Amino acid sequence: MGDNTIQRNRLMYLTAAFGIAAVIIGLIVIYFSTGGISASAAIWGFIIILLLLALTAVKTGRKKEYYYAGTIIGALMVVAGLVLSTLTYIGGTEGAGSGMITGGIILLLICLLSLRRSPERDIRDERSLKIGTWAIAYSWYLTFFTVIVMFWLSYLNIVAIDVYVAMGVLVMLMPLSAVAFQWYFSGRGDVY
Amino acid sequence: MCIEPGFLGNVKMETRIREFRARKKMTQAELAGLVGVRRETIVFLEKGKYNPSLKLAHDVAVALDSSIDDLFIFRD
Repeated sequence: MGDNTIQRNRLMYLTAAFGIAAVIIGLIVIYFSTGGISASAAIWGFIIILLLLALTAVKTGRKKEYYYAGTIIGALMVVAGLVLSTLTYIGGTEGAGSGMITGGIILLLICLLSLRRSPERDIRDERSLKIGTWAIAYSWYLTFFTVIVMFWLSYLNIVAIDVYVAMGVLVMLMPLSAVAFQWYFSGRGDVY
Repeated sequence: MCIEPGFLGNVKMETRIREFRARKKMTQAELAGLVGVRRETIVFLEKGKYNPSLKLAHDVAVALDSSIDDLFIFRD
């Protein structure tokens, strides 16, 4: 077993441990919260932490089983989000459903796209690292520009943007634009 | 020697990697495996669309028993 495999396994165990801890903490916070903003914030934080941990586990594991598991979890998140959206009588959970759906779609897309990739795509060479780095940089600039545009549209009362729409746009825009830029540069061969 | 600013940025890169690889009867995948990159990186290198690091250029040259000067041609 190589050093990289040991390090990867260690990272996966760490991710799993943090995931379980996040679930327990999330459940405790939701249980003790009295509804309103604290419950909503707890659910949002819970969704974001779960999504980040799931993505880390999937990307570090790089095994088909993890991608299948990620696809199922993503689909379940979408279904759970749809169910949560209908349960409006639970105080403070407004918007949590859309967050769940957004997170589920991201996880689903990333796992499905990873499943379609050839095994050679897992080799991280200097070109893929360079393209990945530039894609994330361009994605950051695009998100920053979008935030500025949303601010001015909202500030000048041209469009009414509430916090859930803004968060949804950002959560979707960052990973999807990074993937899009990566795809574009990969097709061109280089970032210049 | 006086070089105008930005002049070198317009230099076009071509490579003879395909020719040297054919001489050694090596496939793109074999060359990629030797230098530790993806096959598609070799594809873009051969087309002159990817600007490699000095280290990768050196590794490719060594794998093809050649030199960087022979493999990479720069035209104005």
